[in-house]
Amino acid sequence: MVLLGAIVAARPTAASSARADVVIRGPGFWSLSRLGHSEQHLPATSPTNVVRLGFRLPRGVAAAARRCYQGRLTARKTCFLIRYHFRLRIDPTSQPGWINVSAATNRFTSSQVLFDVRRPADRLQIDWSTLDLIRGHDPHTTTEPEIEVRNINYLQTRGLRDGLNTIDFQLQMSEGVRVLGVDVFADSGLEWSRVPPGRLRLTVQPRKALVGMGGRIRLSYAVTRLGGRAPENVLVEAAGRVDSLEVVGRASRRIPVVRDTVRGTFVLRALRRGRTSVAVRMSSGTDRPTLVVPVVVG
Amino acid sequence: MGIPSSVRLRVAVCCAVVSAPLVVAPVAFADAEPLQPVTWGDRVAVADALAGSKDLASLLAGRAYTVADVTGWYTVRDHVKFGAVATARLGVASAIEGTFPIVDYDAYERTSPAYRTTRHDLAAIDVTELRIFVDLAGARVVGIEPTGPEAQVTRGADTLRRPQQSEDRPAMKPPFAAQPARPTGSTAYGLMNIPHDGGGGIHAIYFNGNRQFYNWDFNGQNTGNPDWPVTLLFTNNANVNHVKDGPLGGKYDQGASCASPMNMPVGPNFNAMIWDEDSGKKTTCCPVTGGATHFRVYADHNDSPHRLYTPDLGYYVPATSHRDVRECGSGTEHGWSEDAEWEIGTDSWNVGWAVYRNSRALDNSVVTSWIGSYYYQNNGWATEVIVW
Repeated sequence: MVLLGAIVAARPTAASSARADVVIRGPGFWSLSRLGHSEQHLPATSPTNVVRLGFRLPRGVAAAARRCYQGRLTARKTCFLIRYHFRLRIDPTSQPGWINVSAATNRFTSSQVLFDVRRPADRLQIDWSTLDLIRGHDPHTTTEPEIEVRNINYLQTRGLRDGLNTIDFQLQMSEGVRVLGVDVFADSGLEWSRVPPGRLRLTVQPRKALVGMGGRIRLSYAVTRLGGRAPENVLVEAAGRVDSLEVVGRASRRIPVVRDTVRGTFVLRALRRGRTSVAVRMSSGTDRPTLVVPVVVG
Repeated sequence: MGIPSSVRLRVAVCCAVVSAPLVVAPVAFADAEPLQPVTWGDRVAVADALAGSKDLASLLAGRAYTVADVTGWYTVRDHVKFGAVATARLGVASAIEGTFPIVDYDAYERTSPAYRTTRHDLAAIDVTELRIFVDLAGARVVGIEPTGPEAQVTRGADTLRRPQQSEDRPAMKPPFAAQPARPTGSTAYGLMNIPHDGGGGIHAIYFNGNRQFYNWDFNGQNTGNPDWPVTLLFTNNANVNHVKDGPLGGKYDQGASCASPMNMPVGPNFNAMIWDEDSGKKTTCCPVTGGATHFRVYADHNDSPHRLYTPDLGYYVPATSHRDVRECGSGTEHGWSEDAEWEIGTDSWNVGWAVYRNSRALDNSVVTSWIGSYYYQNNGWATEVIVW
């Protein structure tokens, strides 16, 4: 294990290399335990704190992993994901500022969890979020000083190389923020998958509409997975032109996971005569289409 | 998948009545406003247009195709047929690389015709169909889109030279020293006056086929009034707070009270880009004499505040740069984006980040020149700063 008080070496030190680094030989989940490492602890002794742990890859795997995001969704790929499971402990008396807890391979970051420490009415409040290709942007708010996070994301295309690699865990914070430490659990690690990030298609029916004044329009939408890993935390929402169309009932829906096709309906009421439109927007980790439906209120 | 996202939204609007079965709401459109059907004459005109299109011939490079479908292309407002869309089916899934004419349709139809054609260098794989837009008035092809269920389209920026993975110190070169004399008199400041250097001008940048950000920022939330070109990409483990208030914050310590906000459409993925506003950080607050170096960084404040993510760059934020000279004195001047890029790159190197000068082409070069009190200077290649 290498424990660094600041950003330094590009590879594990001799202490780490002396032990035979485990070779990731095939698909599956390679936890820290399986890679021969134990739970890690990141202290908050300097603005940037890093732990780097070694592992090895057979020749050709890194090059194949760089092609994970290309070609057919349905083809078998060589893809790598990072699974980061940690607990951040913040001093309850901490001043406002930001904290960045990240995980990387060879210093190329693929899990970044940002914490915004605030003190409204002198009470600790932390807004934090993850951003990845599976769940997209996933924001949270808490008043607890200890926060346990699980984040999964696909690696950067430049994140791996043949032979010796490192999986890195890093803690950064702004001045004034007091962090007690980060515990990196041993079920963190790397997943070798055959499945690329999932892609979605949004369709809406009807594609144009004519409605009488005060009448209602029913817009049916379908979110379809085209292939790849099932996207999670997918948002679908509808919005009409202000003063001309009003959403009746729910204007948005959060879909936990899209494995096949998820269907739903938005209902809008016409408020003003003339030509207008309604937009249906989807937000996911990989696709964010907006479809505009022209509407004539007669 | 499919068409590049810079045009997808507009195409979706313009073709709403074209490409999908017409399913109508309570009071049927079909009864009230029947769409003009595609006539035999239209089909002949489409066949002539396809046969005479040099763009199509160049892109197909001898590949065989069959016209599987011809549908009408109608105005959004009045549903007047003015064109047709032909679906050309290729025999096998193909890789096509070249310059595609892409239809850019103004959904507000402020001009007639409401579309314009822009040319994009694209590389597409698994293409099984081409959607071909034909203006029936001139019987000519005005747009071609590669498509298919599994087609993937990337723009030029995706295949450009990548930085090496080594952490070697990049070669240094002196900042731009020579500059032409500033002409007297003032010139209106705006999009039409910026002397683009043969590049694609102002447009969205793609990675892995996804629209990510614009290559300029804008004064106001429309793309008609550009401010400065994107000259820096802070990548890997970047976020807005860390770039603005992290190690660079010691030198670039003047913020919103000293800098006016500008805007950029950004978005991690297809279609709907979100406007973000930023005042940035600068070295001196409104200097009376001398100058200040100023950068602004952008992220998607709605869907991914603080940073964007793509496998090509990691967590990143695009940034524009410039200098403000005698901003609160007499003889105020602005510009020197390339020099500012160089200075911020050097500062980034000095705080321990890896810097790759001019490593990412953003197609936003300008002719080095004065326009009024603005000195435009950018070579079109952004510096990548790898933030650890």
